Amino acid sequence: MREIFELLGPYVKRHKLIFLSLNVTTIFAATSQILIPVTVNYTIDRIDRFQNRSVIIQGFFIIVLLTFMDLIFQMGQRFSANRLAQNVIFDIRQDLFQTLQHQELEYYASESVGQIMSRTIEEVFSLRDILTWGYRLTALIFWLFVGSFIVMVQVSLEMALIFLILPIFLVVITKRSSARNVKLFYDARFKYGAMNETLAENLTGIQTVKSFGREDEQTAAFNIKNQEFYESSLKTVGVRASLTSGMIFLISFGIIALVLIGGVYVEQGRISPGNFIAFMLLVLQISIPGRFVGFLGIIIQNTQSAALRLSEIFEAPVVLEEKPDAESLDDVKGDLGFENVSFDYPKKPGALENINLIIPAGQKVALLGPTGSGKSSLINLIARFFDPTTGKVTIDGKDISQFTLKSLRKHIGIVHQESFLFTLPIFDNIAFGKENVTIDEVEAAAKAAQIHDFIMTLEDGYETIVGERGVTLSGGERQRVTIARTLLHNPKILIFDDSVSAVDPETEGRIQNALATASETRTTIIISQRPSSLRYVDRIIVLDLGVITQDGTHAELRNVDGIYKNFMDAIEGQIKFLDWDFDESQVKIKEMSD
Amino acid sequence: MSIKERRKKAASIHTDSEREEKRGSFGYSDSFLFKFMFRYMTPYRAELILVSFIMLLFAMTTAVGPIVLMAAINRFTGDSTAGLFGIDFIDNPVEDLIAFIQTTFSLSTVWAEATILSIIYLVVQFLVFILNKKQINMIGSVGLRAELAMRLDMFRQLQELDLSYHDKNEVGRIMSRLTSDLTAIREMLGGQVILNIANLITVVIVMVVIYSIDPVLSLVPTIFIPIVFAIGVISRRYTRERRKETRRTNSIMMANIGESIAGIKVTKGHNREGQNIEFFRGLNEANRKATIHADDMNAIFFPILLATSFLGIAFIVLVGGIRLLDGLLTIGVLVAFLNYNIILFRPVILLGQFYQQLQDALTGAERVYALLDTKTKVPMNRDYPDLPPIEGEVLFEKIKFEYVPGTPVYQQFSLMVPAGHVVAFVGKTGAGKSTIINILSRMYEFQEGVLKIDGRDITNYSLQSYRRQIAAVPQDFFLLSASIRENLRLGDPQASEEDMFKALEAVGLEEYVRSMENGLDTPLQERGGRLSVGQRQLIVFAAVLLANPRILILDEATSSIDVFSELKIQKAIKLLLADRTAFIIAHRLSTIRAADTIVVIDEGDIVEQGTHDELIQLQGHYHELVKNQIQLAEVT
Ligand SMILES: Nc1ncnc2c1ncn2[C@@H]1O[C@H](COP(=O)(O)OP(=O)(O)OP(=O)(O)O)[C@@H](O)[C@H]1O
Ligand SMILES: Nc1ncnc2c1ncn2[C@@H]1O[C@H](COP(=O)(O)OP(=O)(O)OP(=O)(O)O)[C@@H](O)[C@H]1O
Ligand SMILES: [Mg+2]
Ligand SMILES: [Mg+2]
Repeated sequence: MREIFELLGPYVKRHKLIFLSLNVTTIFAATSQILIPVTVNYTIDRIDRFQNRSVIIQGFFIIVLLTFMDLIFQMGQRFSANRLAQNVIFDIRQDLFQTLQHQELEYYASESVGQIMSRTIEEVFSLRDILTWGYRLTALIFWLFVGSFIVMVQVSLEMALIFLILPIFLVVITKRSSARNVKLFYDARFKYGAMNETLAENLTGIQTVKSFGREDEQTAAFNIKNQEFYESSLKTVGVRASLTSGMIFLISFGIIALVLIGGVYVEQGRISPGNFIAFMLLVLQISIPGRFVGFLGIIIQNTQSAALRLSEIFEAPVVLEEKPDAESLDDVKGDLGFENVSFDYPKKPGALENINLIIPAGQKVALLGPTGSGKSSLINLIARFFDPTTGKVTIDGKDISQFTLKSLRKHIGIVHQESFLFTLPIFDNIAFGKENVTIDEVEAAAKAAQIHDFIMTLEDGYETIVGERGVTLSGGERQRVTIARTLLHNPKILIFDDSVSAVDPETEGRIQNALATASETRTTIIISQRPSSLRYVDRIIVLDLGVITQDGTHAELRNVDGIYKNFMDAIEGQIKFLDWDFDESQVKIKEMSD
Repeated sequence: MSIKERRKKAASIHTDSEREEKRGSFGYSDSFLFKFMFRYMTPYRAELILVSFIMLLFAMTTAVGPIVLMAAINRFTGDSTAGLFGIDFIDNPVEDLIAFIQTTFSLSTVWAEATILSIIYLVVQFLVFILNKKQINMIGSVGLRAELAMRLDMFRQLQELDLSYHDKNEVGRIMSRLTSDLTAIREMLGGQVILNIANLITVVIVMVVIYSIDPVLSLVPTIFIPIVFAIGVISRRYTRERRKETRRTNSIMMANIGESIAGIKVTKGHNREGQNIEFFRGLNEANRKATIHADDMNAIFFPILLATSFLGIAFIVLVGGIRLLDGLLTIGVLVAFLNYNIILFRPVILLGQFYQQLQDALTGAERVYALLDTKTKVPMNRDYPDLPPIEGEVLFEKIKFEYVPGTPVYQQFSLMVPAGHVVAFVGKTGAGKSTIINILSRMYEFQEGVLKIDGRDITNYSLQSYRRQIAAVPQDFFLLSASIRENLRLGDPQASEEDMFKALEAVGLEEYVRSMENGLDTPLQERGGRLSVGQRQLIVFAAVLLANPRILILDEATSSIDVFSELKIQKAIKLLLADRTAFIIAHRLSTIRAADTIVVIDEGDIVEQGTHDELIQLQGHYHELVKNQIQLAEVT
């Protein structure tokens, strides 16, 4: 219960007026519902006494009037409940989304898209139960109960007191079964999330699955998750079954007890038969919503499990916190520094070790190194996607952790190794994150990235919406759109992480010329497996196993033993068999020396 | 167009998820959807019959409970003059029993009756409890099993659907159908249907009882109940559309969440969080509006239902009161009627509520069925003959291909590749290299022409048997978030640990994998995270080595691998290429040069074709390409 209040309380507070109107209408609805049996009883008593039709007609009209009152209040109650529910859900979802957007990458290493999706959609959706009818019904039952109790006290204090025992029983049972049941519900939700995870992954990687013809294996794997979810929900069905039917049984037990006791009282002349009828009518009346008490118990327990899952998102620690006194990074020169930086992934210590590096503003650096040597890890530190384990990264001599993330990242443009596009028009994909962009700016960036001409061949041009992750573009087209996106950003520090790997040499050459102009005034870091990037850099840094092993210009490093020499030799070896004669543009083919 | 308008367009198109987008109907009739849903219940016929039987008992006992209670009340108030229940065939045995107890325990009449009634009542309620519990359990599990089967069918269908479907439907959007929509169906199948059949029976039984007590007074509920049903039917017209809109907005929202998380790195790099949140707010808002709009139907509908039941009371008081005055009725009967009114309307109200849930389920069924009903353009043809072990000769014959109708990538693509040949495709980005691969690995269907493997038209064989003989590394390869072992199994599900390490060694990753905390069983993160991009490519490469296919397809499989690793795997590649048909796309000369045939693609056609030497001599496109590359490699 506490979890539910903690989660929902603050949100309900934001919609005080609606909540108030929900409660007021509920009280009125309960009142008119109680007055109906009272009127009935009153009318029947008077028929007996006066033997008069006008009494009947009077009673009839009072009941009709009460019915209409009830109608209005019930509607009001439900309208309010709907709005309360949807507003709260809206707020929670918005907050969840916001929390998720502000979480840093490390968080996503442990949370899968599937689980998050089922949390933000399904878990939040299940709050609807308690908000739309759970609370309303509880309130209604409560007030019906209070009303009935008041009426009953007039009839017989003792019976009214006995009547009180029933709800206490119900509450106790719900509470006692709660701990175990919440676990079951939670488990079902978790399994549901796990199933979603497999599903999301399969759908994202459907092309790979198909390429290897592994549809059947995937189906089998999915079905295990499906089955697990089935089994854990089966347990919740058991809970549902016992709780709903058990509650009804308890209520009927209470009713018959009341009838018997009432009977004794009538026998002993303590109450009149008429009073007894009124009493029983009230009990029956309340037993209608009372039958839902079992459901209420279930949704409370179910909501609690949902609240637990949601609070896991809200309460996840923020790994990368901005300092409270973080300042905005405004004018940037572009000096970049690494001081004794070491970096460990949780499961991979020593991804970077003792990196000391100073890149003066405006310098162009090529970062070379074998697969897995830590190049991407290094540049991730610059934009503070991760914090170094020890040491610090500086911009213009100042530790980057003292700036706000937003202002820091504004000055850094990274073209990531894996190009990711959103299901948006190409225009928005290029203008991504920048507001008030003109079409001219976008076109200029697209031209520099050599993608403008292609875009113009599309029927909708810049308004063409690309598929999820950009699937409807070719690999090279996608990379060029991401390059354009970063160029438009106009950052002071430009980083390209293997971002032309899918582009043909000719286009690459043209992109590089454009970049040469673009990077003139910028600090630039280029990671590439192709030698082409080396053509216009000022400096080459070689990384191996997380350590900087070489640092210098092409001329300095070309003939020194080391990775760079090997790299160049290998490349030249690959093209050595060709002997160009540029003047004649004629190629003679040498025998391959193998 | 302002950015805002553009946003709107993007949100509404969200790639044309075709029929879903047309807010109206998917074009299935309700009765058809019912049949569809109940098809999943048929395997549980035995359970269903049992549950129905339980429900009949349940309905009877539910109806009896209050009758006993009524009798007890009547007894105590001394109003009842006639038999205990007013129904002879029940009264007679009960009265015999009472007489028996009275004499055995020497109790007063009232007490004997009270005792016996309470006992009967409790026994009946206990039965209700047992039956109800049993029923909920049984039908609940049947519903879950139906859901299980339905979800599996949907998953299979998704595996079957070709990429042109997946291109257009975001992951989140599809997921909403396997989750929210299915839940609505399960809720109906797994309880509500049966429960409401029971309610219906209860209504009938109570009606019979009422009628046998006082036919005239029973007219009141007889008139009111049809009115209630009529209201329900009328409300459907408005409910359905609104329900659909909530589902639609929900699925769009889900797609957005999925994408926003997948692209979080880009979002962060571009400081786009704020805009994303605003964009999401729009979708969230749309869903809020739609849901309130739909739920308001209930807010109007239910109070009306409840009100009719109260009006019933008013009329019973009116008609009953007058008949009481006229001496045609005892007060006991009147009280009984008032109570029966409550008992009668309870299931009726529940039925009304069920009607709404039914709309929910039907909306879900519509969307679920629409997915199952989508025809894949590249069917698996599971019932076709298996493709016999192939040599690997590939023939493209006048193939026309288009992703978007009306803009063909290829008009007439023809190419003959003898078995065992290595073909390299080169060309500018976007020329259509990957497209050929997509055609060959049957990711999309081509529109015209024939694709023959070993002279056999590939469309005549089961797709699975074909795909298992080829191995393709798509340009956007994807590693599962499972262990490395699972990922290697993509290539060969039967591979032994030894084979796996051998393959890893060939790509130069053995040492690294051994150094990871759980070796082969080290789990990767989503999309292969926790490996560097190059390492991921190497893992895929290892999987391909394990697959040992007759036809090998590598689309930029080494683009992110460094020169050294590439040199290292050169041997592996050579091994891999030897004596099998291979299609390679690469921009690196070293890889291309090894090919038997180089095919230059430009503007949707083959412009040059031949060996490296021949093409260089030709001084055409390929010559240009090589020249470019060498110039780029020149470091000064
Ligand atoms: N999230 C992670 N968790 C644990 N280890 C990781 C993670 N990401 C990368 N690694 C490991 O850290 C090392 C460096 O990875 P990084 O991605 O920086 O390499 P890289 O130099 O960019 O390689 P490539 O050229 O292949 O892209 C690799 O050994 C990799 O396996
Ligand atoms: N799924 C798709 N839907 C629509 N159009 C597509 C799709 N995939 C590719 N295209 C378009 O078809 C053309 C050919 O694309 P393809 O992927 O075959 O190019 P490619 O030669 O492989 O290029 P790259 O070297 O950049 O990978 C491109 O213009 C691309 O935009
Ligand atoms: Mg990298
Ligand atoms: Mg391609």
